[in-house]
Order: sequence, then C-alpha cells, then structure tokens
Amino acid sequence: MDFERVLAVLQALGDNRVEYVLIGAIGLTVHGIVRATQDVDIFVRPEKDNVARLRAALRSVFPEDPAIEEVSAADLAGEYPAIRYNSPDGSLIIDILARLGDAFSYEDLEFEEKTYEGISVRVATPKMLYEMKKNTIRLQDRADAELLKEQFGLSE
Amino acid sequence: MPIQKFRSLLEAHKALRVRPGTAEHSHALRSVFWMAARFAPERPPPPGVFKYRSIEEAQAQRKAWARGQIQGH
Repeated sequence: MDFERVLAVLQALGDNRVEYVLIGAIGLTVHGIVRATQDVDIFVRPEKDNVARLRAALRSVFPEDPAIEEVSAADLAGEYPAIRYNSPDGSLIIDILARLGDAFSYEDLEFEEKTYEGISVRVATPKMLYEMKKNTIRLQDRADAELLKEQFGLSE
Repeated sequence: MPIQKFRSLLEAHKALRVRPGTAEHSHALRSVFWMAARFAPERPPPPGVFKYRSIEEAQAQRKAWARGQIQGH
C-alpha cells in the first residue's frame, strides 16, 4: 500500500465532508502506535448523501475508476455492511464499514479530530479502538488491543 | 542510544511509540511503509469493489488472496 495515497484519500475525505471514522492499524498510527498494514479501515455513516460524498472523495483520487459507483448506501445500510475497494493501480485497499456485527455501528463510535501528517482526520479514540479489538479472534487485533491498553492506561 | 534493553517484548513495543505530530512520528510512518514495500511486497489484489455480509467474510477473502500470493511466488 502506498502511504502517500493513504494521505491523499484522508485529505479527500475531509475535503468532501465525509462523515467517517478511521479505525484499524492506520487509526493506531494516528495515535502514535506505528505498525505496517495492508489496508485502510473506515466506518462511514451509511446514508445516501454521505456515501455520495465518499464516492466523490474516492473519485478525486482515482478519477478513471468506474467501479467506485458500486459503493452504495443501500448495500452498507443493508445486506453488505463491509465493502472493500481495491484501487486499479494496486496502491490502496480500503475497507468501508457501516457496522461490525451487532456490536458496533457508526453511531456507536467515539472519535476525535486529530492532525495527521498535516491532514485533519476523524479517528476512533484509543479506548474505542481497544473496545473494537479486544474480543476479536484475529491475533493481530488482540496484540493491538494489548498495546492500546498498556500505552493508554486503559482498563476493562 | 544505539542499544536498548527490555524485560519483555511488550516493553520493547512500548518504547517504539512515538509522539504524534513530531518529525519522529512522520519518519516512523514512512519507514514502516517503505520497509513493508521493500521486504514484503504484495501482489495487488484484484481491483474493484467487493461486498461482504460481515467483516469476517471480508477478512477471509483477504486471507485467500494472500494465500494465492504466497503460492504464486
């Protein structure tokens, strides 16, 4: 994944006033826990206008890609709460989420606005990231949860 | 500080945390992405939009793509 492309997408999300929350490993890096990752994970509000702004943001970075039009609010709010966009040039993989099982939806997320490489981003709080990662099956998530707990003095 | 010693891996990880917004943070971000691209280059997954009923389903497909990548090398 191309880090400069990640920054371009984050800038575009802000420029297009997308209601989103950055989670996952890129979210961790915003808080100072730097590790490699293969994708960008964001939650979005699954409403028609917001998803239209999300498509506009993606189009501004990948203007030649018609596949972006397949990202829809109806899918995110309905049967497909997880949509993955792989850019045509392989420089970016972005997972777009509207909910995680019954546990989390966009409305549940605590987030803060932070400056990341000069870009204003909406990122889940360390406690929120911890809550999302602590009970998952993936070992990487559990390791992340342990680091968050230690580094931010979080408790159960 | 060329050598640092730690009592556990967690302690070592903790020492890697950098203060956001600093030049050190910016350098660490770019270094990590550079190293990943240099030492663990990925074959790009198929381009396009993919839809999943759950995050688990999405993760399973990532694993399948990764397995294909390993087998392909």
